[in-house]
Amino acid sequence: MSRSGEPLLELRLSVDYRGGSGVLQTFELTIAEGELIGLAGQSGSGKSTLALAILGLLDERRARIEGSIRFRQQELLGLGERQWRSIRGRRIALVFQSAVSSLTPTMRLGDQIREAWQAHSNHPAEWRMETASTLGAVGLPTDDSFLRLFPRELSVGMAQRFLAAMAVLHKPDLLIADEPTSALDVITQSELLKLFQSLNSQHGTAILFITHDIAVAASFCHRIAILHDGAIVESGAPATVLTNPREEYTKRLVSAVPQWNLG
Amino acid sequence: MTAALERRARLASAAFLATLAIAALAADWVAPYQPEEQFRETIAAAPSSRFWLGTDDLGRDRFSRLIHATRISLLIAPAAALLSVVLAASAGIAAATRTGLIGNLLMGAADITLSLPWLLLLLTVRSLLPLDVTPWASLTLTFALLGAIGWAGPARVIRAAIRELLVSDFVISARGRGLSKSRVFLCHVLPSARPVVAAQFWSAVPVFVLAEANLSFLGLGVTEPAASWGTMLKEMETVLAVGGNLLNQYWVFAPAALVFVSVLCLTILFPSRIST
Repeated sequence: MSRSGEPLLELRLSVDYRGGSGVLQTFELTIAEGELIGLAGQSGSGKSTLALAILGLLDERRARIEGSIRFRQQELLGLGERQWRSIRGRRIALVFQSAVSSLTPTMRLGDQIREAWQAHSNHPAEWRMETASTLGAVGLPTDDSFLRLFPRELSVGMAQRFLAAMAVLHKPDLLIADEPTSALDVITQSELLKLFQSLNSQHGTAILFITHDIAVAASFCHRIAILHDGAIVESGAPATVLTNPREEYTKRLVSAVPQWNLG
Repeated sequence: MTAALERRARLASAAFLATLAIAALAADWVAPYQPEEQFRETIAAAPSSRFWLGTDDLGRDRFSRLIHATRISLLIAPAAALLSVVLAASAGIAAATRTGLIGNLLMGAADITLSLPWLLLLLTVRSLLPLDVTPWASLTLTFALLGAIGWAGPARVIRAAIRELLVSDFVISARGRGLSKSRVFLCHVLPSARPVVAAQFWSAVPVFVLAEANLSFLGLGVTEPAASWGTMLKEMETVLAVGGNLLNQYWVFAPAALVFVSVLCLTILFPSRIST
């Protein structure tokens, strides 16, 4: 993994949906190689739009995007679908908030993970070995009876781990986690955060952790950025932002965190 | 309706329709006479041990005709429903995935089809055709007309369902894993749209059973000497035209009763088909 000092991802974006006002307004963010960055903001602040914009997945939502998405010095805006595909899932991966609804209900788990492997691998036959090691790493069973299950047969925690396993299958350079822990109980949540941390430390995967919960972001990110009204209002080390917020919005966000979480 | 009662009603409906379908398929063996066979010595006869539902005013056995009519009516309705749903699915999928000019044109065509006074249109189309069309030609025409008229409503529903699926979390997730649009569409979108398409089919069948009966009753559908439920319903009109009393000839109601019970059974059976 290159650590040349060049940023992994440089964003300068404006996004608006047809007929609506701007969701992101000259949003600027730079992510370094291997960085764990938390992006906190309340619901409706444009967090999920950002996640989809980085992967070029806003086409079906008829959004208008302006600006630039530079990934390892390559401009992504304006890429054709085929070029986007070579990036999605292999170099930049995505985990959604709602795990159960993010898995195709009509497909068995085995078919979904095999498809995810074969989308980018020149060795399609190796899917079983590769998926077994990835599923094992997230603490899921690897036997055939598990792979024959349908998503509806999983608990939310298992579905989220399965989704995470598919996202990290190709050891991406950047993982975008869009509120991955919101629907989870605290124990499953902490297991998932550990998984992300180990992915970061073992493979140098940078993680853009999008959340409405500033405390969770602060607990494991190197840096947190605060999103308000479609733009970043403040960013810095978690300790600085939490203990000495500069912006009014950040102060409100921090004051809303229950005291015992700040420990 | 309680669950147990509902289950029994569905079971009874399925059994009735299955019996009807088997009788219709085996019409040549089940029916005592040929549907066109005339018994000139017994014209417009009341039910007897020889003619269970009596004979019509051409001396044809009503029971035999009813069984053969069932074959035609029960064949036309699902076949026309299939045609309209195939057309609807093609138009709906195209309109959902091609949101530009093609999508607008298709949905515009659906709007126009839905706003056509199609009964008048059918009358016009029929009047342009020769009066002596063969029964098979009238059968094919009825089938094609029903299918061609019925596509617009289901196309709108299918388009809306596909559009919703295209922005659903699991479809965006699948694309986010680097899968091609066509693969995502075939393996992730279409299987989830299947229940919607199936529901369109199953809700169209009873509608088309009634539509065939209405059209043929008006002389716009299947024509004599072929027997369909609609052509047999025309007999009620004939009885009235000659000043007869329908209540004294209650057996003339047999085709109407069969249409009613079959449509009821299809409607009862329909919800159980969506969930599968």
